[in-house]
Amino acid sequence: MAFDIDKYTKTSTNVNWSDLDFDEFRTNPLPPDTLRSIRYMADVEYHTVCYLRDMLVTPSHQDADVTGFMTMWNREEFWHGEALSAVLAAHDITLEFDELKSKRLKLGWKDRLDPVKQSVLSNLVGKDFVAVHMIWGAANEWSAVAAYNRMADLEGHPILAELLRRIAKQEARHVAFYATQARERLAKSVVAQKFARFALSSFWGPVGSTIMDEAEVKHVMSHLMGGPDGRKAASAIDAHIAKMPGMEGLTIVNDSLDKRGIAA
Amino acid sequence: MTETADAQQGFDIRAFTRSAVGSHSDALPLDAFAERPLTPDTVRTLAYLRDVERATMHHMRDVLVTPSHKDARLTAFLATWAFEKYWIADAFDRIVGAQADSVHAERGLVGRALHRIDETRDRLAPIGTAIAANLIGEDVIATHVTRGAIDEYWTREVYSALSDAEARPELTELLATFAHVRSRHRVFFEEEALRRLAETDGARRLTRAMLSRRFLPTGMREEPSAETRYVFRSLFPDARSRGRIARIDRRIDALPGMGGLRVMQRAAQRFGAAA
Repeated sequence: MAFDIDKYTKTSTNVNWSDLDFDEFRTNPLPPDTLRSIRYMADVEYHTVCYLRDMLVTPSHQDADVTGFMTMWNREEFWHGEALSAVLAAHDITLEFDELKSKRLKLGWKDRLDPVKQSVLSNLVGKDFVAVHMIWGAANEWSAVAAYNRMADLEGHPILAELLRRIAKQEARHVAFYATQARERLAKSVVAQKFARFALSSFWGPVGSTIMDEAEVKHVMSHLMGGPDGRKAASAIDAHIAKMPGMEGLTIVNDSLDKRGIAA
Repeated sequence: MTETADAQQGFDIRAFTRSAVGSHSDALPLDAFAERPLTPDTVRTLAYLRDVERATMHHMRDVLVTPSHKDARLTAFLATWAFEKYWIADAFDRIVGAQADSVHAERGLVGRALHRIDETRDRLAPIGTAIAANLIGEDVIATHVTRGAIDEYWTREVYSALSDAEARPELTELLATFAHVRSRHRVFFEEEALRRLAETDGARRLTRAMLSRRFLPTGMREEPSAETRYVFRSLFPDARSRGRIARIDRRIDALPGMGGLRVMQRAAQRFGAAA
């Protein structure tokens, strides 16, 4: 499946929720466990800029199609943060820019050195590293689609479900971009395949696990990916990844759940 | 996020993000330009402006590897800012591309990669920037927002000089639209620059150092110097133009601790414009 970048940029828009009746949350509020997961998701969406940063230090950004995508993607994800934060606000939970800032400050030196590490690594390996970024992005976006759809199913709240489906629909377009890029780039280079396989199996973790507390990661993983249905969703992500050139047999999502003792 | 928290800080980021201006393609006077083509000089300048605009993400990298990326207010702004700039570049690209015999069209269509960026320097740059900027800390944000403000002072004069040079109502109107879109960028960067420069000695020292070292607006350093020279010479050829360049410098003078640097007048001299 080809990805039409011009069509994507032209139709990129901020997710809309103005037509959804958020007052419904007043009469039919979401349970604390769900709000906790939404809070996690909002944080992750707002932190997209940190991932953008990591991608920009690699040779990825020299391709105008890629920069066009990243411009739109970064903005769409920001709006997912805004939408989820509006759901939280309807439950009197506020998420301020200053709070996000202090979270980013808390990431401290590990985060500070990250662009350096990325730069050194990516430039040693050159263009092949772009493939790693793309498969990494695809894995994250597949996870996002799965997580939003799972939450919509689990909660069965009409307003929340509609909002999450809209967000998931945008995430699915991100999947299309990353997966197309990853497939093409991996197919072209065995070195890229080896490097991607190594990177995914050694370093991949659930979206948000580098920025959120481990307790929060566990909560969200068991909420959305635990139990038979959750594991089914996780296995579907793994199956998508395993279909990529050179990624046969990888089960990184299930592995990360096992590692955290999430019930199957 | 709540309205009030942000409103207290002046520039309303939320309102800005909500009313982002996207594609201009439906409003482009391509028919008029097809009927009566723009002068080759104007097309050359528009191609230059497009390429400079396309450097946005490249520049964003240099900003994000520094403590600037910690500031959620700044990154929220940048998400929309990059979006609006993307579409301005796209509009220039469509106009340039539609000029059939334009030698600059190809650069846009085939040259979808930022060819001119020196590979080795580019690869090493983020490492140096990240290490240096993180040692310096938050003061480095002042240099980014000051640069952002100067980019806008410069672009406004360029648009107005180009409007005068071509004297086509359709082009003038279009550039006025872009200037309007960018006026919010200027307000944000200027407000941030005024505040951050006023705050610390370190911020002023760093920023002054940046402006003293052969400063050019963002993206121009990556362009071939022949093109930059061309833009300076063609848009700022006479006494009236000198006034435009001087006006940019007066705005820079008004920023805390940035007086007397003659930043753009010196740049204009280096690139052979009347100054």
